[in-house]
Amino acid sequence: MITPPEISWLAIAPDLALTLGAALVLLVDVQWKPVARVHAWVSGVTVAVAAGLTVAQWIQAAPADALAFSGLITMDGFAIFTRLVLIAATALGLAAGWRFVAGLGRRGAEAIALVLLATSGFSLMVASNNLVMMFMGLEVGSIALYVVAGLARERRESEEAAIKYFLLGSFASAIFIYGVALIYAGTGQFEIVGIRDLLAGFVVSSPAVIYIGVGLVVVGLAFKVSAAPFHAWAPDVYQGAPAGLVGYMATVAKVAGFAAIARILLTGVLDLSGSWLPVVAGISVVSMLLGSVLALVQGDVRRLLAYSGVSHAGFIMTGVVGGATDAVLFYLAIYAIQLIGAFAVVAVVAGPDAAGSSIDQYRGLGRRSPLLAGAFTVILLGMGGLPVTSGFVAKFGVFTGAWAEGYEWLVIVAVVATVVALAFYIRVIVVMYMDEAQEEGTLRIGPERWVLVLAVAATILWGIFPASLLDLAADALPI
Amino acid sequence: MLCSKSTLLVLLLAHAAAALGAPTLVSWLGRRAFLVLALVPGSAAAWALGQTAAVTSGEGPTMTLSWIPALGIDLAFRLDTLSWLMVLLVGGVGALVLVYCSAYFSPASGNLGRFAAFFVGFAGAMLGLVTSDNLVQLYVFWELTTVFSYLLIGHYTTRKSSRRAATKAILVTTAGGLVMLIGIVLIGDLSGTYSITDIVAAPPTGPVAVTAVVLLLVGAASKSALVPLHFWLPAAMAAPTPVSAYLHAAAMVKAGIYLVARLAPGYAGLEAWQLMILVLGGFSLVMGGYQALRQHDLKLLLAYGTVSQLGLLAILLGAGSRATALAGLALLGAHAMFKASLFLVVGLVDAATGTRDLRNLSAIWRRLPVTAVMAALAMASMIGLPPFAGFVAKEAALESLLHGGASPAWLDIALLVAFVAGSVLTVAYGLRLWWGAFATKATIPEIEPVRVIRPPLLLLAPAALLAVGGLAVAVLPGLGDQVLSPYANTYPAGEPGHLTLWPGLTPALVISLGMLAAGVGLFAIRDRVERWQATHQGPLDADNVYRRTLRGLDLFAADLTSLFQRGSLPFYLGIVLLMVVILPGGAMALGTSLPDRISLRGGVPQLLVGALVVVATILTVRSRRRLKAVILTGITGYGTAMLFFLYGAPDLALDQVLVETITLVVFVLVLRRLPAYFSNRPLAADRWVRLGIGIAVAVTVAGFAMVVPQARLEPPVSAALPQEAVAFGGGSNVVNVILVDVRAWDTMGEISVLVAAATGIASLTFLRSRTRDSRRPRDHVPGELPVLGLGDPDPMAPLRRPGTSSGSRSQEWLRGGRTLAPQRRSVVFEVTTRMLYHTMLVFAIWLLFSGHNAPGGGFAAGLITGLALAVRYLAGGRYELAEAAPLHPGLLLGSGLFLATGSGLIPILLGGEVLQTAIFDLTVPLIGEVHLITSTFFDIGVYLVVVGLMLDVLRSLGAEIDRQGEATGHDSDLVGPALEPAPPLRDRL
Repeated sequence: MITPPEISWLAIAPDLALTLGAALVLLVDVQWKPVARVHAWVSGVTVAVAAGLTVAQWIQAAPADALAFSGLITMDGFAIFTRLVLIAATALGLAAGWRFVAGLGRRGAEAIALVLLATSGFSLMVASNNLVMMFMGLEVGSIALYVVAGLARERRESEEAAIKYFLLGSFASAIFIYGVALIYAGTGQFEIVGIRDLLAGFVVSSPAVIYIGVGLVVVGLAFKVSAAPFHAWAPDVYQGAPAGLVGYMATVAKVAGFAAIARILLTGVLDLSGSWLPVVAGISVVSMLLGSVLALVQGDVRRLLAYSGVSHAGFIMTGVVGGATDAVLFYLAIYAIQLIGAFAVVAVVAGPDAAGSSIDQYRGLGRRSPLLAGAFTVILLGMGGLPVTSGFVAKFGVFTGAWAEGYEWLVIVAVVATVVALAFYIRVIVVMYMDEAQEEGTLRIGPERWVLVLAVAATILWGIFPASLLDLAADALPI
Repeated sequence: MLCSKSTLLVLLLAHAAAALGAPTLVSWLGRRAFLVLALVPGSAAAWALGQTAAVTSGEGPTMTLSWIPALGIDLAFRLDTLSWLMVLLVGGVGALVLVYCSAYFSPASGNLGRFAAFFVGFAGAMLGLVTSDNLVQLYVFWELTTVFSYLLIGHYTTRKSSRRAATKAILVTTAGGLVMLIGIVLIGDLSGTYSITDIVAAPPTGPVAVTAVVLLLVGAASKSALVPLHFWLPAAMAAPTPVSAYLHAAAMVKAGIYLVARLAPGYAGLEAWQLMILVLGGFSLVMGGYQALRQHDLKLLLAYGTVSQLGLLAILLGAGSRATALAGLALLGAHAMFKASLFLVVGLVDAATGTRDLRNLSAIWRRLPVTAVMAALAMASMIGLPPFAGFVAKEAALESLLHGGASPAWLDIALLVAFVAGSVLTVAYGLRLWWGAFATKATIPEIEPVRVIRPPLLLLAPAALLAVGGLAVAVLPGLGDQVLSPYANTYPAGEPGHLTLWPGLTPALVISLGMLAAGVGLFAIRDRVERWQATHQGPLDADNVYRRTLRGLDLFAADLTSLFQRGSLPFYLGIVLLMVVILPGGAMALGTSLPDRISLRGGVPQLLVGALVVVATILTVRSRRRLKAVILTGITGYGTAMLFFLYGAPDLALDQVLVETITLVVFVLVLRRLPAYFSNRPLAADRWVRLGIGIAVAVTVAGFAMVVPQARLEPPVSAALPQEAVAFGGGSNVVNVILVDVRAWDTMGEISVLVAAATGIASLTFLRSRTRDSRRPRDHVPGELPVLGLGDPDPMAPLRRPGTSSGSRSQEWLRGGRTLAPQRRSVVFEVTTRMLYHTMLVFAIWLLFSGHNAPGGGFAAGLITGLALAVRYLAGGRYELAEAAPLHPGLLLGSGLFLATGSGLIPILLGGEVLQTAIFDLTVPLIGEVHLITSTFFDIGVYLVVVGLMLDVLRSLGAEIDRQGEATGHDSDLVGPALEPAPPLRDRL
């Protein structure tokens, strides 16, 4: 006789809320065929409820309830913090993509449901203590994103983006689950905490199987976070997918992927760090340099942001190398907001469902729309990591983490990459302010406005007063 | 007096507030707003003046606030002598330049609000920089000044030169700043604190500390435009003149010098420090002066002069002895005044005449006499004429260098030589400046008097104040001595120096006079010097290096992009696979050994099957026809099934064979709408690379398979399964018991997914309602029934009896055959189908019920039923499918799911668990003993779901695509011409 496991509904309450919200959107759409505003309310309330439940988790969380569902799910600070970032990204992403969603007409409900489902999947992923559970979350999230990439059905670029993302992404998922299987073969455990305890308590006779497994898992997740050399899909997908939702797609995949990397490497197999540290450091170096250098020559702002995302993946990896979970979390939160903000600008300039966004469209933006250009400037400087922006604090955090771990050379490479990266951010700023506009006409800004306000506020306020978010990140420890 | 501690914070906030409010203020008051804004930096200077007594007595205000405790970074401010001096300069010059601005810009010029905001913001950042007592905080303000300076340099945004200049300035200085940041982190790591006071008090030592100091000096050099990082400064002259006067003379470029002065008390003794100071400072001093001599643009002349003077300041403040430091501090103040004044004067001349090219200016002194006098005063201070501040500072410097003392002798001599050479050059270019701007030149026509605009008082006063200030300060050298020496005396070595206006006839004075004479001489032969310079270009220009670096980086990036970002899916996948080989494969190669014994348990049959699979794989890769590739892939699948069989898993083998067959059918259905051949083959070299990657991946994965079993610690769970399957599941087919009993929950989930997938496929394919087109032939009015493929070429036509294409019902093997043109039909196929169909169904039912104990089960049975339907469809077309299964697939899917769920719930009614297996042994009349197991019903549910799925697949990918093909006139049975492959999204270069 099997006794049913203790069920802690709170542990999955945000994910449940998101899933139910997704279902509700679809049901409401089928039943009443309402105007977009109704969907906005439903999805808004869903996200708010999910956020509220996550905050409730934070308040409730005690070490005793950290594990739920027989160890499948955790409710540790790490999960809650990342989940909050994901939910915030969802809210911002929907706001940034709202004009696209509304423009889809009847299919708009699908887009909203997919976004909510993707978030619920990634949210489960960041909270899972079990590698198979993590895979489940990863797939729920990823598959929803593949579809989102192809939502602009009329455009071939969108279809190309979707199919590329799908094929390569499924392959990466397969590599991930292969790795999970091998980790299980080596440790007899799926639970990350269990793996940690096992490795701490015993000398494993044949660790090579675990090494292989960890290697495969790292490859699979490095793909998801678009770290080099697994990044090749990112520019094509970022360019082809609907402008309004790209920011969301890029952000949640990156946040969840890094949360998984941090949880597996820094909690699960920390005792084997000697074997994976050089690998992660290597991926970090390649990502930072390749991403920064390649971004220099991009004539399309979306591809530029994709490559900058590659370099950011490298920067975050330095935090993983340094074992600084809090710095990684802070970086993720900051980058999430900035990335969605940047793509909100793209959505305004290029149009919400456009493919690509040539840099020519940004010439003279400073005169066409000073506020938009100003917001983009702040966001770009934040991404570049200039002081008084939160990007600086984020970079400083991960760099000092790596430094303290004896990876000075990595930090030096990172600083070099930062300089190169600055060159292309500045290039965009120069184009915006110092070139004659090639296109005329006013730009329509919809709900993107709020995204930009928040992104700019987050970049500057957390740049000057980072302590509030840093303290939160410092409290958000994995179990 | 105000509480001095918080005043500084209030001042900083005032700057921020003023910067934010500046655009509004400008929109209200126009350019007069600058006068109001001048109060803000002015109040900072006034505050510093008010603190003079406290600072001199070493009790300047300090303040510490917690900022980022998580990273150990506080906000720390303090006002000591050095900061006091800098605040005075930053605030005082800032206020005067703002006053100047109010008259400099024409009321109509645009973007003034933004300009004012950035200007005041810059002043605030500078104030923060010079009062910071925390290295990280200093870095933050440091980069802030960079950003503001970028924005200010780029004020004339439409000029290409200012765009380049701004980019250059920000790139060089930020890069330098980041280098400095590494130094900061290094030094903070070593000493455990970022507090400047603490670090200088107890400077860490060792090679790491030396590296850190070198990095800090590189940062300082980039900011203070020291050779070889000086090239951004002349370019930055594209900025409006007030910006040049403030940023590039008084304030920003002093930040690096400030850092040198800050750290010198701790590190001036280091050999690396001395060498760096000598090289950076000495070269700047001489090369800047030399370059200044050849400039025709007055601003450029001043810019190179600034490079030269900054070099001198670096030498004096970095040399390490107290006396030179005192001289350096004095020169720091003097330079800010005379250089800012000179810039303002040049701006005046520019504004008045419309040019600042000295080849076009002649006899301006007559038009602008007051301006000319002011310029003369400032220039006198610059070249060190008594009784000006510049003279006092230089005399003190010369005196201290002559006495030497603390530093090694070679350094003293080298510094002295550089100093003398630099001073001679300074005299020469100083004279050239005044001469160029104001003197009457015989060869140049005068500018018409009417076109020279008399400067207003607001434009003149700031320049005059600064120029006269140089005189006023010098008159009270004792005061300067008293105020500045507290900081100079924190330097580790040497005698304290003194500032005097008239030192008497000392060797220093003699040398000074000599330098003056030499400078005047050099100025006198300026024509010859210019000619010589024109023929002797410098070999290495740092600006060129910068440009080439950027260009090279761009080209490199473009090459990399075209190499890696091809838009090719196989290429991307290849990279990922290669990494799988390298990373986990590497871990395997390094970490393990192959097992001792590898046994081929299957013996010869296994080898044969293996060989078959290998051959099929090779042929698959080589095939160019899609269909061929699919069939060959199928053979590898059947091979796998045979391997299962050889290992004693008939049930798995059966399922594998069926799945393989179904996949083949589905593939064929889909392939109808794809080109017959793959797109063009890649180039030969590419193919070899792909082959290599493929083989490497195969070897790696095979290696995994051999290595992994060694990790086994526990006996496999499968050992106990056969007994338990019978005992608890009531069946001897272990696989089936696992599916319907042990892991019934999983199966439950899987069939739900199947239902969803089936619905998904259908809804993707059916553009319209799903139910409409499942009509059977008999639902059509005779004569209206469409016939597929009538227009096809029919080589057999002459042989056909007319009128048999749709015979009577009794003659038909398949009813749907009527809907196909004769040339599309095959009698053999139709007859075979007729024979096989029911046999297959019976076989499926048999498999379904025997599955619990023998190979089979709901899944296999469902697949066979599906295959039977597929055969009907292939033989008789889409109407035949509707004939064979006049059901909506949804019905099958739904009832299957219902049955499975229901049979899972029944055990609850019997007091058991969900999905628990109950076994009934009943005696039924006529039939006899019946061994009834509840899980069988579950299996029937699975069966129905699988059949439903198959039907849905056939209806959507088969029949519906047929229908769409007919509707669009696109014959779906014919393979269309090869479509042009979509061009990949390539990077725009």
